[in-house]
Amino acid sequence: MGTQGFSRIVEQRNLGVEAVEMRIQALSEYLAVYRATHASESGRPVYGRIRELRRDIWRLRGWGWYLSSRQQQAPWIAMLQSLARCLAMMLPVQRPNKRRRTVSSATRRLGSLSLLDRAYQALEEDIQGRLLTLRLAQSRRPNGDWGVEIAELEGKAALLAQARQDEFRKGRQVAVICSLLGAVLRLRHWFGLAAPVADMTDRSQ
Amino acid sequence: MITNDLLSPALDALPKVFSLADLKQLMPDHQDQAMEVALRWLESGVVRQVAPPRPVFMRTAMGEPVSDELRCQALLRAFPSLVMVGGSVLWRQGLSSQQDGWLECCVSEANSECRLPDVRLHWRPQSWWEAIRRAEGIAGEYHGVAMLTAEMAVADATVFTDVWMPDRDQVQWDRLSTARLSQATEHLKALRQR
Repeated sequence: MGTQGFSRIVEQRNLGVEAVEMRIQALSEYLAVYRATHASESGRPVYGRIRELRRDIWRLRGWGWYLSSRQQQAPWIAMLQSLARCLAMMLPVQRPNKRRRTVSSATRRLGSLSLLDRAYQALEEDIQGRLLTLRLAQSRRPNGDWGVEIAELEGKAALLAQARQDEFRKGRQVAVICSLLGAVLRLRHWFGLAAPVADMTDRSQ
Repeated sequence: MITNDLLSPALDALPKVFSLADLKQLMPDHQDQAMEVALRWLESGVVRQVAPPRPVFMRTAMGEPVSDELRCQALLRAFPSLVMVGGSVLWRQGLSSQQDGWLECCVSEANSECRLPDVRLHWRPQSWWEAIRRAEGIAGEYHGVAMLTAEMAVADATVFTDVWMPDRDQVQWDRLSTARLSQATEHLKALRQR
């Protein structure tokens, strides 16, 4: 693989980490506001929503840990990937369950792949929003120096779209990695161990 | 050009406040063209970007005032975790006889420009949201936007000093709890010292 190809992969992974961190921050803030707003209420819907949001944050953290460890070429990554491959084969194929208890509980829970896809999509939309702002400014002031920044953002958007395709091709393995590492991080948190990734501060509890 | 016009959805098919994702959903087979359509609408002035660079838009109509409900709806789409602060809270909770000139809210984005009329956004550190939760500092919602409790709003205005507050004699202080006020100040002071 050439140097250009390698740096492209590194950039793709960095964008993945950025997408996950951005989503964790957004969900953590939303969770804090949701909990404070519904502090006086009790009952299953509120607790259920809080539990799901926390679960989403842990799974995102898990994926963020995986991406950054892969970037640092951590020795356990190969083992984790093999384990995820095996576990993914054992997972039953999900079929729509007609006997789901309530529609609300079914719609509330987001699969790991959808969760990650939403995170990448959010960053993609963020970049597209920035692009729109710049293009609008360019059309109003064509003499300005917008070209470099626009090209840079367009490159970033293309890389992210590619990352979405590459990373989520093996959807079941991704889901296993997310859930496994999310659970490990949660356990570490319960035992009072520091988060393995420095910038993933815990704000969900 | 003609093909593009035929493909682009009618603006009326979208709600007053919409995002780029909503627009993409309207044109599932031509999602890559959603950006072009949005840019054309922005250039012609039929929509405005609520808080650039966030991809949230609001349809504009000449001379039509923007209601509080619509402003809140647009703000929530752009910043789902924003919280109303300062004099805006006191006025809406009936604790001040002086009305706010701007709707003031807090967000965690440092560079948050807002193109909505009479809205001001202020930055707060990420830890602020957690401090608010720990202090049980949210009183309820106003058109979906979370509002600080009156005590927390006063404490926040004292600690951060960047929001508008009514004149002292215009606030019904007897309806505020001193204990809760000092507790709220303690929670927020810690953030300011960092």
